[in-house]
Amino acid sequence: MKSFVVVGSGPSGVHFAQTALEKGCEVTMLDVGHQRPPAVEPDATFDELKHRLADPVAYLLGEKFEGVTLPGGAGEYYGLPPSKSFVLKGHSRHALRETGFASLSSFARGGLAEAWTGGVYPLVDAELEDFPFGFGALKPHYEEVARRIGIAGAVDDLAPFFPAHDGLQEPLRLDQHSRTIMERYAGQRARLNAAGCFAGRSRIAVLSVPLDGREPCDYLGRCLWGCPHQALYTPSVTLARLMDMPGFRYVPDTWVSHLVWDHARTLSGIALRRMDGTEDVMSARHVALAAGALSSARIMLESVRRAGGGILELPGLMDNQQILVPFVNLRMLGHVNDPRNYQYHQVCLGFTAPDPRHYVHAQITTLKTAMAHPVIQSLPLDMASATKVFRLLRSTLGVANVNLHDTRRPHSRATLELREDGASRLVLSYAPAPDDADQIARATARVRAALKALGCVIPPGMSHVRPKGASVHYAGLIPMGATDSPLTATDEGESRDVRGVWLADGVTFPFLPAKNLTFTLMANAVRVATHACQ
Amino acid sequence: MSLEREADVFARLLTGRPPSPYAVRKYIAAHEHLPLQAQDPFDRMLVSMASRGRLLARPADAYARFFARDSALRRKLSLMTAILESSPGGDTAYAPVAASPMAVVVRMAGIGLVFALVLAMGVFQHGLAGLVRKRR
Repeated sequence: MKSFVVVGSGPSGVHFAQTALEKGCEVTMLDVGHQRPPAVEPDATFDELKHRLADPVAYLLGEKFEGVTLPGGAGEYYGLPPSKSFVLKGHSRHALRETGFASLSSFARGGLAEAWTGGVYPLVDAELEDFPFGFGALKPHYEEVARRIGIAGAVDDLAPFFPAHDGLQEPLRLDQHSRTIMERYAGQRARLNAAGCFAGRSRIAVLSVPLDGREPCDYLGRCLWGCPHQALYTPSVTLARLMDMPGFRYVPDTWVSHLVWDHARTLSGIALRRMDGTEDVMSARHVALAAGALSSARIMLESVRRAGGGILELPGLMDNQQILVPFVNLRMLGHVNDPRNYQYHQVCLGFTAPDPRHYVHAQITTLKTAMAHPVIQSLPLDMASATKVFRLLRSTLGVANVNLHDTRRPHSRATLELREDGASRLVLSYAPAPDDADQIARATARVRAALKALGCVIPPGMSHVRPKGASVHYAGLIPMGATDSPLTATDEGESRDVRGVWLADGVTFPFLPAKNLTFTLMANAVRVATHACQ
Repeated sequence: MSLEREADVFARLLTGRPPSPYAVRKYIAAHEHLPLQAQDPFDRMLVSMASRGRLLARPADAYARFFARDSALRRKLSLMTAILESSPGGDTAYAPVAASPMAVVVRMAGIGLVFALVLAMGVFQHGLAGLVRKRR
């Protein structure tokens, strides 16, 4: 019986592990594993929480008020509430220096995808052109993941961009705001389609019917704070299932430093450090690196350095550029939202391009349940006036999260540098594409024009180009494919440098389409595990 | 001025209602964790003026929105908003208002007019005070 060590419990790690277990292999999962806090008042809506909790401010804003957004606050606004702080909690060994990039790392059970907004978008053949397989080869793995996690969605005008596959559940109930957008789209379809804009339902990893003991979405409006019923999928759902499967062992509080291999370049062990400071080398013949693109790249770079190969550079760091375009939907003026709602995006816009790989994707999130003070303080009014205006406009507010594709370029790269204490630090540098500014301007203009056609007003000067690295869709440093060169992966996802090392996460993706990559990460992990177990 | 007094004035300014004892406790506790201290004498003066009552608070805040955006006063008002919206009753104090589209437009115009007056008062009071302070 083959035995795998899986590094990381994110979307790639848990689906690699599940596939390997189902194929009769044994799996040991190494993870730092910060845990999510238990759900509170699981049947309360967002507003009911304020009445039912003994100390709602502590829950919503944090014991130390870390959830309060003050004017002049530094850095990018991510808006993660205190109940999600475990996702971005650091680790003492994690050291990073970045130029032109602002990445996020997670050491949580489930990884960064514990803060996932659930967008599930299969890639089309054109987007998989640089991959060593097309949609047809990936489709059964997409379907396998869809069966495991549960996906609500429809086959509509966006189907050419998100190919249909089995395993889709009925879409969720649309909130009123999203419904008005779709109604307006129906009236403007011909005009918008002629301009290359299509609208439809988001595909989201949320249950609309029960699945494997999980209950469907009950519209509590608490997605951001953590779905108390796990209707909104995160990898920790699968991790909990793995714990009950024979042959699985979960080892938390473990930081993987590097891999160890013999003279024949065959894996022999994994160097790790436990929470109590002890270090060890665990014997292993087969490992799946699924720690996320940046951490998996660090482990490979550190492994080469420790093996005497020096400090190498990995070109090809990618991340989706995101642009936030806030809007006011005039058709919602004077309406009141139903407090029972699904909080995240329910509608998407897709924009064609002459090169189908340059498709632009926008997710429409309408403001229903969310903290108001960051919006109120940003209005160009005194706070009392701003509060009144906010209440009048609250139901009309929304934001389009626009995603652009990215390509591997030599000057966007990862390497290591040695610190004074002898330990190494990951160094990331990102150089935007030469036409980066043009791409952003063009995409923003198209989204703004589409929103106007859908009856929305775009407040001037409010669009926000997020810093590189903010999307957390990292990929591309050890690409899979035909090029047989060092620090690449085979078509099946095995390292070309060391036998027994399987790269199961986005580090092997040779291209990054504009869509959220999490679904493809999971499907690819199933694909890689299928090969690894043969 | 005490933090209790600030909490009372700011809650009335923001929602037209006095704060609950719970909201006051939270407002005071937050000062142990967040950077809410005034950075200079003018900043201190803005907070001091604003905490005397709603009529003085609003022009001070309108002035600060444009000429002292990161001031202690703006930070304290944002904090109070965050606490009030997270407290029991916050669901109604910040809930959407049902009205006809025309009524919304009329109300917005009214808010804009009042704001213009309040801002003019704030610029007159605090702009003048700032000028005098610079001359000295």
